[in-house]
Amino acid sequence: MSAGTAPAPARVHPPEDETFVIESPGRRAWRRLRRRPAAMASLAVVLVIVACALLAPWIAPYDPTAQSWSAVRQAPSAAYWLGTDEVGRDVLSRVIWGARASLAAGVVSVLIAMAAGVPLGLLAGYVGGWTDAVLSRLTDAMLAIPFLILAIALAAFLGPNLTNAMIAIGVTATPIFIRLTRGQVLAARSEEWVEAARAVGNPHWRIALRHVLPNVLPPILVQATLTIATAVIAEASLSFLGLGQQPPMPSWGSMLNSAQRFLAQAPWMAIFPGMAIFLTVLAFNVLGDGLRDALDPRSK
Amino acid sequence: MSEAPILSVEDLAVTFSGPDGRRTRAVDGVSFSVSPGRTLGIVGESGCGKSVTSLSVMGLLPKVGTAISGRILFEGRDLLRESERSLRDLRGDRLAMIFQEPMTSLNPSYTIGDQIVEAIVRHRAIGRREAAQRAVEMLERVRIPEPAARFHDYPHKLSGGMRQRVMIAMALACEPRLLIADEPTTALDVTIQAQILELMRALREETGTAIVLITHDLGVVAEVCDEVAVMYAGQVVERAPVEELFRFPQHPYTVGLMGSLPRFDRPRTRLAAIEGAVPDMSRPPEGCRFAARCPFRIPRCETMPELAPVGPDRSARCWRAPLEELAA
Repeated sequence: MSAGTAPAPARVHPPEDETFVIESPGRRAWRRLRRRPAAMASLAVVLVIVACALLAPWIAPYDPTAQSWSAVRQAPSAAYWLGTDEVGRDVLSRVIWGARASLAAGVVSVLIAMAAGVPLGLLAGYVGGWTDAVLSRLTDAMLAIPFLILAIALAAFLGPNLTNAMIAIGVTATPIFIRLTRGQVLAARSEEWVEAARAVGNPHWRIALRHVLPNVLPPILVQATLTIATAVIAEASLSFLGLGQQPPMPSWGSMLNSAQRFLAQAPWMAIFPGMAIFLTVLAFNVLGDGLRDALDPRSK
Repeated sequence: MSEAPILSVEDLAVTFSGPDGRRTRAVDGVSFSVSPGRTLGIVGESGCGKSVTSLSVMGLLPKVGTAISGRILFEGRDLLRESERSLRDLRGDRLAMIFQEPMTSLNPSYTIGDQIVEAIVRHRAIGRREAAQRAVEMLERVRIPEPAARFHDYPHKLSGGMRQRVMIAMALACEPRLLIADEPTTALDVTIQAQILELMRALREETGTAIVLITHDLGVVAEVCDEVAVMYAGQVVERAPVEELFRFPQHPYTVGLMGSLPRFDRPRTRLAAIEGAVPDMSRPPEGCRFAARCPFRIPRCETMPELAPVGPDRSARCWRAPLEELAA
């Protein structure tokens, strides 16, 4: 046998290396997230807002509902850092307490949307056929209606309070999660490990819940972060329209509502809750983008 | 064939109908059998129906748009008549399968130990702790170094060869009577290929498991198989013990396949390619399916030949077999 009598088989696979070790997906995502300053700054902002919401009774300098007729529409000062509103309530305290309504509305409504949307999307994507056709058409129909219009209609139908606003926003955001989950499941279920899981005798329900679901969670997590931002705006809009948080309890949206009549005389009444909304929404959006990049296996 | 076959497939036909009404006959009248402790190779190029054949034995073909006929007798039971529930109980227990792509056949979200334990607990009435011990034993049996430590590894930490070993460990965890290996070494590089084949051979000897090895690689067949079925365009065109097949191939397609195999013992020549392409299986030709590409074609090839005996233990689907007389 002389060398070169047969063409050497060309293989592109790397050589076997038993010691070749890669870090786990979660740790890798965290390392990549840490490398993104914008994402880390957003995470810090989110944590501050969460802290404000949780610690509101202890860190707010005044009772957010206490009126003071001697201090009506006062400009920011040493006593009232962010000024007071038309009945003399401290704007800073109300912004801090308002974080509770906004965050609760953002997080709870997204949890509602995920609790409904992820199972339905899993069902549509995994079962396919008629189930998928019906669910997908319903999803399309709901997505065809503008987000806020649907949320307003639902909130008006359910009655004006914060809980109903959360439900309305949650229901409105559900089709986003149905569609996303369905698409991810469709891609995952044609993977070979799904067939391998069937080849060891797993029933379909177990493959769907235990094998497919954990693998489609990362993009859903990213979408959830982004949807929290949308939900915060939706809550502010509903409260602005009087369909969310009811007076006297503060929410950023309802603060804007009462501020609009005094824009010229007391702009601080609008600026600070507006900034709170702006910062929260921006932080969740940038954090979501960062998470998406960190979890994307294709990006470096 | 000494013992009664563990699996015998009789006249299996699989037809897929597409959404546009196009019907594709992927497998057409395939019969073969394999006895305990033996290895049957099913060889053919991509699209010849070999993977569809193996998936129909496992009962893993999609239900919608698939028509299956014939009989698949496993331990005397016709799998095509069994309920999905009893098929699930068989799969992973008495009937196991390993796949072509070890890189994608393991769920990335769970440790390899978890995945083997899941397969064991599914079929055996034992606790997770005991199943975990069994899983570590299996990892050791497939020659994975430090099995107890590897048990906690996620698939991405393992190389392709190691992952295929894990797949084999998972498949053999419940001591199946039949293992279907669909191109188990195709995605691996050559040295690892040899190790995996050696491992499969050793495990077969230890356990007496029958193996159906699906491959397009005649080199792999020569190394591990006892018998071979050559498939072309959804049909078995030749069946023979492995030495016989390599010594005297009896179907022109097999001859063509051998011609495309590099040889060390002959002067260097261009590798022969088989002219033409596989027929469109939504409109298969009426006569012999290989006729259009066959150098030995005669007018009689316009009608379909049967898979007929051409010697002890072997048969070929060709009017002109045995072919030795042609060469003379």
